[in-house]
Amino acid sequence: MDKQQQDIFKRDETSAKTQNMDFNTPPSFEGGDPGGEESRNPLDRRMKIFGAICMFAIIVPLMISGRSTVYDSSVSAQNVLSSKVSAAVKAGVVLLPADEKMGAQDYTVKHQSTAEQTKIWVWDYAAEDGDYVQVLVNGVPFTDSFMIKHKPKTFVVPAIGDIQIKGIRDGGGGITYAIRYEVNGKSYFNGTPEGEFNTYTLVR
Amino acid sequence: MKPFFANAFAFIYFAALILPMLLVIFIIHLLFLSDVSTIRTSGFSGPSGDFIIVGLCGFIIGLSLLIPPLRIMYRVLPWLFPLVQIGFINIVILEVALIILNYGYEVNNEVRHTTFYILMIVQIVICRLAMSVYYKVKPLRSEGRRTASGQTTTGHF
Repeated sequence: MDKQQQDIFKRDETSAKTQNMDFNTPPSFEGGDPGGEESRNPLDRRMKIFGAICMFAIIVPLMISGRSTVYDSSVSAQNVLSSKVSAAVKAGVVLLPADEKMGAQDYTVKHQSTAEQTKIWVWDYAAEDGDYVQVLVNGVPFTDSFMIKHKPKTFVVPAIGDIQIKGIRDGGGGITYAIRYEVNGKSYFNGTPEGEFNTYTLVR
Repeated sequence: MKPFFANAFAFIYFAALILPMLLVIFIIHLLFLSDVSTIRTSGFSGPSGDFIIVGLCGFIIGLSLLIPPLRIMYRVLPWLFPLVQIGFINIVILEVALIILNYGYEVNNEVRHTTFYILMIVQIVICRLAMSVYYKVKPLRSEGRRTASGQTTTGHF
């Protein structure tokens, strides 16, 4: 078919289509109805996927916030709050949901260990509210000041001498911390005002 | 009767939850720089409970997108879906940035502070770049509307 014949064929086709068209109904495109259900489906699908992702966003904060606040309400744990010293609880125990004013106290830590050094664990046994402390050894800063959290921080310090915990910043309700000494297996639950410190004298 | 209740439900949900949530998203954007400045000047980590607010916003948005009668609002207001998408993703990025900065400021050490401040900036830049690339590949579209002549238009953002 030459070009002229093709043009005539196309004209005839168009003419036939025009004669059959109903001008009273809105035009529709071949192969679908854009703006109706077919074209909304990809966008609906995208909305549903994004909606599902957003719903997942609430699960993550719930997991984070509920993860580590397991309070030890056993008898031995509660006795600790009155005695303030215990060999029965392990490092990282959380006793209170909120800070309570705990009087500052110095301690003498007696032990029979012949080791030169010992481990200590420092943590917040009440609310994680932004309390900062610093560890000093014989009056000299041993660490940078750090935020105490429920998860204990571990340090290796000399087994003889003065270990001081200095209160740097009170996040609210007082600086409450606990310290456990590997050398005698005991945990001390203490508090300290900002700028002051508690001294633990380690002796054999 | 059913369409009436669906529309009413969508309207109430929009007025009572979506609008305040959009305001919260806007405020989080405004407060971000102030939070960073507070942490940097004080030298101490700040409270990091805002992820709960982000989670709540996500929950409200998620419900509105997953429940079919509520999706009406995105058809009536074609600009809403792109706004909600960009706004929510932005606050997630900003909240992650604050978490990074707060973690860096948990120890009082200048080198650590500087390192995590730079990390925070890098995280924001990378996430925003990733977002830009994603929306370049899959552009945001509003819901199509019929014009007076019966043709359909779709807006591209």
